[in-house]
Amino acid sequence: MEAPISLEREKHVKYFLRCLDVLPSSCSHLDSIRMTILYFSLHGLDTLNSIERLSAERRDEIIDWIYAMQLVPAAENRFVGFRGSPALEQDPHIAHTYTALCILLILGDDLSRVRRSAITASLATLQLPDGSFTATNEGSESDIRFVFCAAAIAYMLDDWSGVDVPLMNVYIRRCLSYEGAFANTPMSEAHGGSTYCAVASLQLSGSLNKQLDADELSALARWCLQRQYTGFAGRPNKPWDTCYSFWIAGTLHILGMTPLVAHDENRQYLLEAQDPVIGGFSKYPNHFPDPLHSCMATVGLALSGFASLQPVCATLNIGEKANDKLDELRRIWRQKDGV
Amino acid sequence: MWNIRKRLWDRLVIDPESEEARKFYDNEVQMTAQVLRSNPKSYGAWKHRAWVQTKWPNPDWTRELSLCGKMLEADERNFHCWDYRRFTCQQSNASKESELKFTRDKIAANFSNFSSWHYRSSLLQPMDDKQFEEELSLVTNAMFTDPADQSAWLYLRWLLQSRQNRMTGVYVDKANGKILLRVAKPMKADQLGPVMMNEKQVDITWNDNASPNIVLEGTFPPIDEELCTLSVAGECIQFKEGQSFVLRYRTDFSAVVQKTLQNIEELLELEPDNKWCHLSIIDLYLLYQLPECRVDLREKLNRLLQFDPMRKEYYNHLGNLMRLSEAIASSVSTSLSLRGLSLSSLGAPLTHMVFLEKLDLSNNNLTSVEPLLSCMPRLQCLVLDHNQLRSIRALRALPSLCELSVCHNEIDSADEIQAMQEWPQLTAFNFEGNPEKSSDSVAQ
Repeated sequence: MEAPISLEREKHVKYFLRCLDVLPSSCSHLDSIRMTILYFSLHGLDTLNSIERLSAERRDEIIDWIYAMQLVPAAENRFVGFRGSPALEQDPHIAHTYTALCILLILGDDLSRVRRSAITASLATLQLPDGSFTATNEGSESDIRFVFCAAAIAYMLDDWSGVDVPLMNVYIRRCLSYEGAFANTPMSEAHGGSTYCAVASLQLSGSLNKQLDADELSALARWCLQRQYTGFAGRPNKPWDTCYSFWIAGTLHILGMTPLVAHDENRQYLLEAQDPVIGGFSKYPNHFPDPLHSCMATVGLALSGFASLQPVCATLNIGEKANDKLDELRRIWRQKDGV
Repeated sequence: MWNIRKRLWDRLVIDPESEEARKFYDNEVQMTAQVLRSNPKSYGAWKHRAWVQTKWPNPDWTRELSLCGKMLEADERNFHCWDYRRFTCQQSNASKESELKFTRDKIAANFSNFSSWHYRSSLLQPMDDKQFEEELSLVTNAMFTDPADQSAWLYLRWLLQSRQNRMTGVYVDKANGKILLRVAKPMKADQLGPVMMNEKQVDITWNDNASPNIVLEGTFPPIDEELCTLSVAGECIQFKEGQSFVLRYRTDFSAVVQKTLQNIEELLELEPDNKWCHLSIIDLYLLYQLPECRVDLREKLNRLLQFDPMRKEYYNHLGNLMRLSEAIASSVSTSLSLRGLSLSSLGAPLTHMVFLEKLDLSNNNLTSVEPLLSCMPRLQCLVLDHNQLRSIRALRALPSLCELSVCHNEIDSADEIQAMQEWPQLTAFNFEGNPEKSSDSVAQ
């Protein structure tokens, strides 16, 4: 039997820190989504319990940059939120708003500069008649990914008034495929990422056990469990890919079914996908690392109980400490609002 | 980025019928094709192409279909492409028949074609008996051709489940005019349509019309005569004399399903180590009322544990469901004992027994009873002694609960115990033998 592979902690810490400064030119197409790259890097760093490797100045610099991305459009009935980057007159975007809030919590910010009620009320401008959400007012595709972003924002800012939850749940149920798991849009194939988005959204709005009965939950767990070979694949008859160690294992975590996962094999696969030279993780072993897979693999290891990593709050995909900070803020807000 | 192009189009294309507009249209079409060549999964490119078609008076749907065809040949699992194909067919009013043929051809070419099975399932809803039989034979063909491939087995399971009863648990108190329905999929009360008792329409006032639910409660003017039949949502439910409740979770075993079981058993003889055969037989047992002693389920489960050890916890869960099923089958009443069955999880058919009033789950390995909380509106007495519960706060969701016993569990929060003691609804509450201090039973 081969010697067990160890986690190249320091290499990954350095990898994430580098992502904060500069990415290779092959990543230039990611420029408009800097917020997302920031989220992957900082969440990865935080899961490695290494956020303190950022100096206080650096931390404040990042926080200020994020707040600079917050935009309250002049026109009425527009989504208030965060942009992905300063480039190209971007509209506030639902996914970048979600990741911005995550990053602020990870960095210990108290969200005092966030336009809470403006953001949550304006979610209504992004919800479509079928219950799904688009990402910007100007229009984009609408699917379960943005439903998750809406649910996460409403939950984090503790205000669901801008979300028609029953209508959202109707859409989510329509995404439930014959396979027992969720697709990105109604009538599409069930997929690991969409399944996570659907289940997390239901859990965040407190609808999980009302919308899915025990049989459906059982079939859902079964579909998820069948995705594991060593690591996880996103769909049947597809190769396994490190990011599904978050999307699928995270779903099982939300369903309370973590004990049913074969953790040793999962950890082994993830460790094999590390880049021992430059750090980071790739989607499969012997491939190029990228910020998304580096983050998800690290979180996947944490979910599988890898020692020395920070536990993760699966429904929001932020660390336990950030989640505790959020709970504290929600308590304070409720006291102030007299709820 | 794509939005900038859309803005430019809206500004520059004034007359959609003009030659200039045509040039723009061709350009966008060519441009998206280029992008899709190098990135076939670009959400933006597919969406933009679809948007462009809606802006043009006469889109070339044949070309769009052919684009889908080419891209699906390169990657049959590209769900963006399948979505775009559905959009094209919808816009061009393509017939269901031609789409069914398309999926059938794709499946015949490659049984692993998940997306084809999937599309097929959405085209065939709702299914009549003849279609059901045809699909079963298509699936059986696939099973025999490549028994190791998941797609056919998943589709089989879906097919079998699609024939399940919609009303899985029913309670009618005719003297007091109360009705409880447990439905397989969440429904709104107004989707049920008219309700008939003994073939006369009954006027029911439903408690909650706003949200879809798995339990529907309502009231109606009391009836004197004996209740024999209840018809609702296309199903006719027979009541035994004097009975006020029916459990209909497991469906009758029809000739067609019997044939499927025979086919799977034949396949099992050829491929004794095929995990999907074993799983499907267990599924059939859990969903349908199979004749006694037809299958040795415990043996099947043990084989599964042997050749698929990675999923052993899931198979243990299946074992739970089998024991539950057996225990319930022998006695359907408003009072149920499930003592000492080594249950670590709960599920069907227990969660469909909306009429349960007393439930004994003691001497098991339960850490949670979550599955019960939204489907036991009449449960008054619940015994959970000798389990592994750490928290009981959630039990307050049971609206009729008045007697609760949770002795010898792992409840370590004195606050929770106290809160339960103070819950006015409970007339009896036992909690001795828990890690939390103070261990006397209390009668309020």
